[in-house]
This record gives sequence, C-alpha cells and structure tokens, in this order.
Amino acid sequence: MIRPAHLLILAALAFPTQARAADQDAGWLDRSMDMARSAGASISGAWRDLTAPVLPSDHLPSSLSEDDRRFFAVLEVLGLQLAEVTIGKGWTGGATYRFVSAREPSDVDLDQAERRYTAYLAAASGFRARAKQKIARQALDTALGGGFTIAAMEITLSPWPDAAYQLTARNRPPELGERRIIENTPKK
Amino acid sequence: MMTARNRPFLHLAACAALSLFFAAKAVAATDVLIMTDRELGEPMARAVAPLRSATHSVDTGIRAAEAACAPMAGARPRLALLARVPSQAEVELCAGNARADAVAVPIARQAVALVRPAGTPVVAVNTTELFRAFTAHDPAPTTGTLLLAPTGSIAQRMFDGRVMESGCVAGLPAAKLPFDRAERRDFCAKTRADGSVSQRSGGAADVVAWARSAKPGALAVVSVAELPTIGDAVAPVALDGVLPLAVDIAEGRYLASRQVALLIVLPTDTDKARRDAARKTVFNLLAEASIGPSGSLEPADIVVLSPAERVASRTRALGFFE
Repeated sequence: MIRPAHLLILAALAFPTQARAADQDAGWLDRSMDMARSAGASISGAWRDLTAPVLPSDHLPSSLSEDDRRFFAVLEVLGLQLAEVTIGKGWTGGATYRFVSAREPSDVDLDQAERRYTAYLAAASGFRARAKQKIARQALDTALGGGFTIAAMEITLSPWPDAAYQLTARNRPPELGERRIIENTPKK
Repeated sequence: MMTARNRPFLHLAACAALSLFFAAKAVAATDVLIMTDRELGEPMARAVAPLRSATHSVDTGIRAAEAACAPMAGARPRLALLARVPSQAEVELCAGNARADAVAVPIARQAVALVRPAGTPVVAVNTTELFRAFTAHDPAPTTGTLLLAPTGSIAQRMFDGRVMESGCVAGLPAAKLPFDRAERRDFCAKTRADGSVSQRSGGAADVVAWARSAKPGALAVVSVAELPTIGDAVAPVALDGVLPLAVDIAEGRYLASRQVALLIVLPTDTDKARRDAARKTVFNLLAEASIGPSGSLEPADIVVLSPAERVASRTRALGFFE
C-alpha cells in the first residue's frame, strides 16, 4: 500500500544532493560505494516503511481522537451501533466505520442525541469538525422524521470525513425470505 | 314554474338552503383540529378537552406530529400537543409536507421522580441498576422493593420509557432488544412478578401510606408534579447522579424529564375565519389559566415553565399569527 508519506520518501531518494556535496573530495570509487550504500540504506528503510503493516489498533474506537469520539457518540445514541471497521482500504490506508441500526431511536434517544450534538458543536471547531458535525446533523434529521430510517451508515474519517447511507422505508414490506421466516416462526 | 300555490314552499326551501349555508360556514369557521400525542396520555387529552367547542375535535394518536403534518387535513389549522419539542428541521419538514406555516413552542415540562421514605438511608440509583433490580428479564433475586405509579398515568409511562428503557438499552445486548420502539418499551417495562414490585392505584395519599410502612431500600415512582402534595413523607433519590431539581429539569440534565410542546400548523390556503379560530384557541391554550400555576393542564402532571419562558412561548406563538 502506498501512502503520501511513502511517495515523499521515494522522491527524496531520487535527489541525494546532500550526500553528493559531502563527498566532493573522495575518490570516484569511494564516492560511488558510499552512494550505493546510502541509497541501499534509504531504499531498505523505505521498503520497511512501505511494507510495514497498518496497525488495526490505531483505528479502533479507543484510539480515536476526542473529536471523533464525540462524533460517534451522537450516532450511537441514535441506535446506530459500530459493527465493523475496515482498515487499510484505498490509497490513503485509512479506515471505514460501518454503523448498523441496532434499534429504532426512542424519544429519549432523540433528546439525548440533540444534547450530544449541541455539546459536540460547542466543543469542536475547524473544517474537518464542521464536516463531521454536518454528517451527525444529517443522521439526526433522518432519525427525527420522514418515512425512512437509517439501516446502516459507512463513515470515512480520512482524508476527509464522508458518509454513505443505507436508508430503509419505515413501513417496508418484508422480503420474500423474511416473510417465510415470519410465517414459519411459531407464535408464543 | 312559480305559481301562487307553490310560492310558500319555495320560500321555505330558500330559507332552509340559506340556514344550511350559514351553519356550514359557522362549522368551517371554527374547524380547528387539536391533537394530543398518545405519549402524553389520557390526562393531557382530558386537560385540553375544555378547549373543544362543538366543532373542535380532539384526536389522540401515537404520532400526533405526523397527523398534524399530513397534507390530508386540507385547509384546517391543526394544533398538536407533543411529548417533545421538535427540531427546526422537523418543523420545516412539517410545513413543507402540509403546505403550511408551522411553529413549535414549549408549553410545559413533565418529570418523574423516584422517592424513598423519609428517614431511610440516602441512596442514589442509576438506570441500569434499577432495570436489573426490577426487570422480569433478570433472574437474579433482588433485595429492594418498588412501588409503581398507577397504570396509564404519565408518571408510569415516563418511568417505563425514560428510566426502564434507558437501563434496558444500556444493560442488555443489542441483539436481545426489540428493534421497534413501541415493542422495546413494552419489553423493557416488564417488571418482576415475585412481589418486589407493586402498583398503586390511587394518588398522593397512597404514597404517604406506603412511606409510613416501607422498609429501607424501598423506592416509589411519583410524578414531580405530585411531590408537593406528598410533602415530607418522602425524599427524592438521585437518578444517574442528578436530583429532580427545577434547574436540572429545565436544562434537560435530569433524564426522567421532558418538554411538552405545542405544534401549530396553519395551512397557507386557510381562510381568515379558521385562522382567527386557531389564534383564539392558541391564546386560550397558552393563557395563565391553562399553562400557569394551578392552570387547567395541572391534572396532566405538568411542571410549569418559568414566567419568562411562558411569556416567550406566548409571544412566539401569537406572533406567528400576525
């Protein structure tokens, strides 16, 4: 996986100007050997960096910033439960957080979500925080009314906060498979 | 053909038609729908019933907001009493849906308290512990006792929805909880049948009688509006670390409290007579005689707003009609 940091390292390797300036007085063989050793060390370091595994622990909720945790807290109180974290997908190597609706939010949930959202607005500022607050507001507005409910939501935090929604009609009829299960489940 | 013989009948028919026309116009003129959310219970529906004239109708529905915002009601103004203040986005959605102007104002608060008999040790409870202690879904025995409020009362509904459900959501795995909120509430509100939970049928006098004989560790569910009537026989218990004090209820820190709101939906094509009728009804509903101390909404277990908040709600609601 290639990250922007890796590209910078490779670019630096292409222009070893510092090494050349320091070795002006050495013989051509020594200079060549030093350059080769230096290039080898740099390439080996870059290779180690390039091939180092992405650490899942860096993306788990416990490692998230305070700002991200406040953002997720608004979603969680709406009944959206963090169900999956996909790490290292895409060129940025970031994480995608999949929230699944665990329950239809009650009035208490909606009240608490509004309060947490207000607290989040007051606590965080900046362009990234604003983008996350906008996503939280959209989730809250969807939960508040209308004929659709959020069934699942995928959130990407880097390079820029983004969200994808899966909405379900509140009074949708059951799918064929679901209908079979319902019809064959013995009534208590 | 008009003849001398049928002329009296024609006069009679004309008079009848005119009477019908004016009667229909009078009915239409005062045709304001008042809806109370089922969450607010029968006491609230009864409390607003005096506002009902012959042509007003009071409907109850589980989602009064949805009924008030539906386009089917046509040009009739709708007033919905809701169990929470809708957000600005919801009000805008409602206005767009009903092709109307809409506004929501808070009119009161409701809160439920847990109390212990006065003189027993001070205890503090949290919703998860309380749920585990008294739910039918936990087989472990419990040492405490709980006296519930009367069935169908606002205190009992709020205890089920705000206290037991919060503890249930926090204390049980998500997979065990019903997804649907009405089913979840019923599931979470199911209490033990081992004698540790009982239910009173009367009012404050029952709580006073309970407090005289209750042992330490006993708790009772009462509405905050009932507390002054019960007097010194009981003491409130902190819930999740917060006591049901006026300031904490007002600022939403006390979990077992909510705001009651009035949603006014005025269709853009409503006529002046209906508009005036709606304005008059709103004026009566927000008067001191209604939402003030000892007002007509008192039986609905309301905690009145502060004088400044009441004035602000009135100003906003009546300004909406200007």
